[in-house]
Amino acid sequence: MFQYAIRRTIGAFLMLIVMSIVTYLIFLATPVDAARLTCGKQCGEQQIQINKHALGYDKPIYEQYWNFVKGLVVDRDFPADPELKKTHPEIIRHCAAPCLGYSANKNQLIWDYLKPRVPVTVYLTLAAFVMWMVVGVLLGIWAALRRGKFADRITVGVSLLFYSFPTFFIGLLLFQLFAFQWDLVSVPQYIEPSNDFGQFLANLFLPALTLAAVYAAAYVRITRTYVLETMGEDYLRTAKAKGVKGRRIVFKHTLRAALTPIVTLAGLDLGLLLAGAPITETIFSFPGLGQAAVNSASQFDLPMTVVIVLISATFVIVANLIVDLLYAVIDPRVRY
Amino acid sequence: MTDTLVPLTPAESEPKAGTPALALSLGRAGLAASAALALVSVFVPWFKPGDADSPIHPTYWAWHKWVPLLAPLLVLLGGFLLALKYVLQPAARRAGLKVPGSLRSAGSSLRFLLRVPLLGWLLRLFGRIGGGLAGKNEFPGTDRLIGSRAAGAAIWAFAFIWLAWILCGRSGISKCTHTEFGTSCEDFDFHGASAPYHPQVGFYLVIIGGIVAIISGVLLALKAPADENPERRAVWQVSEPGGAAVTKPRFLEVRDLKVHFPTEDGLVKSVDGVSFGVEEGKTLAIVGESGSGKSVTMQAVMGLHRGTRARMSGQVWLNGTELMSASDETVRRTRGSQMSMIFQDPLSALHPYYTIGNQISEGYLVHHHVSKSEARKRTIEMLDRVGIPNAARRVDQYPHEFSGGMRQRAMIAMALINNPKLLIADEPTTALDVTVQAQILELMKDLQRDFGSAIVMITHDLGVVADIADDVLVMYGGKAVETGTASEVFFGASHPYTWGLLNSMPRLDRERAERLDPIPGTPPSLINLPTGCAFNPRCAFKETVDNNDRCVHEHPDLYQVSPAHHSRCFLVDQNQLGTLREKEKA
Repeated sequence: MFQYAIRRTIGAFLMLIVMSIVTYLIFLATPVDAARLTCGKQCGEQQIQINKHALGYDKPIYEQYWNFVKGLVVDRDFPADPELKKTHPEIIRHCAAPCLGYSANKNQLIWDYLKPRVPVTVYLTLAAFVMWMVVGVLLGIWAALRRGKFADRITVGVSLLFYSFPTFFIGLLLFQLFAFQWDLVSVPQYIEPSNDFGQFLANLFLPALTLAAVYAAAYVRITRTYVLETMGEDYLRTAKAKGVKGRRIVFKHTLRAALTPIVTLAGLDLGLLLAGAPITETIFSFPGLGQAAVNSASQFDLPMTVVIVLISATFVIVANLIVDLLYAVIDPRVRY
Repeated sequence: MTDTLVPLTPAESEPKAGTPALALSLGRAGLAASAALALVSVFVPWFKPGDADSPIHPTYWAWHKWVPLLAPLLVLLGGFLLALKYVLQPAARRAGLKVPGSLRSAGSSLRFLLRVPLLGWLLRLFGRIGGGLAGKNEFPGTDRLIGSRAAGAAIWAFAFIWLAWILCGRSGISKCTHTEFGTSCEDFDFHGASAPYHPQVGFYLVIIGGIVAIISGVLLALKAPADENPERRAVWQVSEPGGAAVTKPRFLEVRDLKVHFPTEDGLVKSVDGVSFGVEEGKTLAIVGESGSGKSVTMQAVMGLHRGTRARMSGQVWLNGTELMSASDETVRRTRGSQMSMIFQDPLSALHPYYTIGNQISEGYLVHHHVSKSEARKRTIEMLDRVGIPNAARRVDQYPHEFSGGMRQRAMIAMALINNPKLLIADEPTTALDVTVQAQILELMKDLQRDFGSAIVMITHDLGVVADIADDVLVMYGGKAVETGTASEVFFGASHPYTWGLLNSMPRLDRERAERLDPIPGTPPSLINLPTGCAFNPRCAFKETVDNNDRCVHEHPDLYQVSPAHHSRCFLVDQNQLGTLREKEKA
């Protein structure tokens, strides 16, 4: 078990390195000249060359990549010019290790820009996660227990409807209905939980609901399938033959078996969502990672995009790792 | 035996057409209509309380916050009153408890509410909903279905009240803009000046929807449910023609048991009129091919088909109690404590995620109020008893850590932990190799000696039958084709199917190695049984009967061979067995 965990962690680490290389390569292959974007229309060719040099874009790719990796352990300066540091130290941006780089576009250190955004995405995702797991799994069980009946068909039908709506449609629909037509919530905006926890929750409700709707719809169907599959198992008949009560059969014997694959899926989905929910965050203008990803990609902010992709990849890989390790705890038959 | 028992409701009767069916469809249509109305009303422009053309009386606005609380309050009050009337007071009286005077007078001073015409009806309705939601709707005189129908209607009505509150109650819609200079709010007409603005329409939609929901729910609750499933609620009466005493049922007695499964291809008649009985300390073997209905029969005895789509009729008497007409709760209490079942494939019959000990002790905890450690002690004792070495350690292992024989022993321990009077074993030795088979059979015989229980052994292995059975029931196509004591069935088999089974069994005592003689053909489809005798397409003696094709056109009865031996074959009816046997010898 311990050995397996070590092996998997090393594997995950290698995966991250490959991910970062690939991301670097893809973005350097774009026809956009990053240096060209650092100054305005009036910018002359000479100025572009100077900026290019200052940002290190004139160096070969492997060197740029190496500088990025090195920045994780040693401090970096932007621009990395020792002479300029002597003459005009006020221009130099100092980036303490671990340094994720500097965005010329935002004129900011990348981590300074992203740091306040991580909790936004985490709160949003966790709120949505709780909503969709509770609603999705409970409705799924309910539908499975009423298999083939009216309630089952309605639940499955409505979940299919929600599942097939694009997120931006559900988001805008909920926005319109809840915030304007019924005036149940104020127009959501991100509020720091430390400022006003009640308001924070109230404002989190709508975006989280939007995210949760699609996932809940998927989980209703998944849960229903797994519960139905489990309900055909012989060991439930054994439990019934022992005289165990109906509710206990459902919530102990059936759920225990049906939840195993659901937990796996939930872990992976959570990891994916922690990397940002670009559409939802954009609709509700929540300053999260997803919004930053959309912005940086549309503005060709290369260093920012690379870092966001890496953070996202880390979340997914770590979620994968945790799910795999959890499996040994959930299913006694699994041994590593 | 069956002629003294007359069903009040014929098992085959269909749900009666007429008013209930009409009410049912009306009710369903009503619920659908109200759902549609609810959807429409959500998207209809709404109005503000201050509007001059608002159809709502101003007094409402002063109270509207409390409207949604009405329904839950009614549920609580109604539930309390009904519980007081039907559950608590009788229970206290039975237990000889003195209900404190103040509480009693409080109860009875409130209980007049139940008799107030409309309010009383509402309180009962909502009370039952409360009971239904809590899963305890066992008030006498009420029907589970009525409870759920009424609950459906009430949930709709509740949703409408809630919707009305939300939609009517929101005051002054305003739009706030947040800028760096601060927040400014202004009146905001979402629908714009050009949008048609008909507040009354939406309001009336909600009201109409609510009324439709209530009416249709009441229709569903009052009219529909009584005879939706006649098989399940078939009422049986023990009649006494001419004052004759009714036959006292044996320890386990099954009378005219039918289990039918409706499927898309048609009605599968898995068990079609089977009767048998076992006394305590005796063993009955049910023999037959796969699909002959032997497992389904015993699962029906255990009540394992309850709550599924299976249609059942007949009687199952266990120790003087009739189980088919008993409530689910009664049967659940009987399962595991008085009767228990060993299933054929122990690996799939044990839960893979729980330890053996957990699963066995659960059976004990369900029927006994003991602590977990006591149950565990008992479990270890039981595992020890069925011959699992080092039981104290193995109790914490999972099924996949056990070998096949050990798993079957664990299953037996699970079945025997409450010392059941009836043990049903569904092919307990099929998945095991021969030496383990013998051990398991020996173990069951031992346990029967110790506990004096009746055993019903389902098997297709005639060797097992010869080893353990007192009586034998041979099943074919969902019916009993031959019954009798083990020796009579073995040495005087009187049905061609039984002969076929005996011939297809390898024997050591034959002089030369003969080829085994399988029964030709395949088991019949339980949806379309062959006409006449179900075995006739495979029967080699069809010509021998030779009486205007009786085998094809006429259903054979169970004919008596000897007082304790019956066979469903015309050969017995026409007394041709003797001549056949002489021919065989010659």
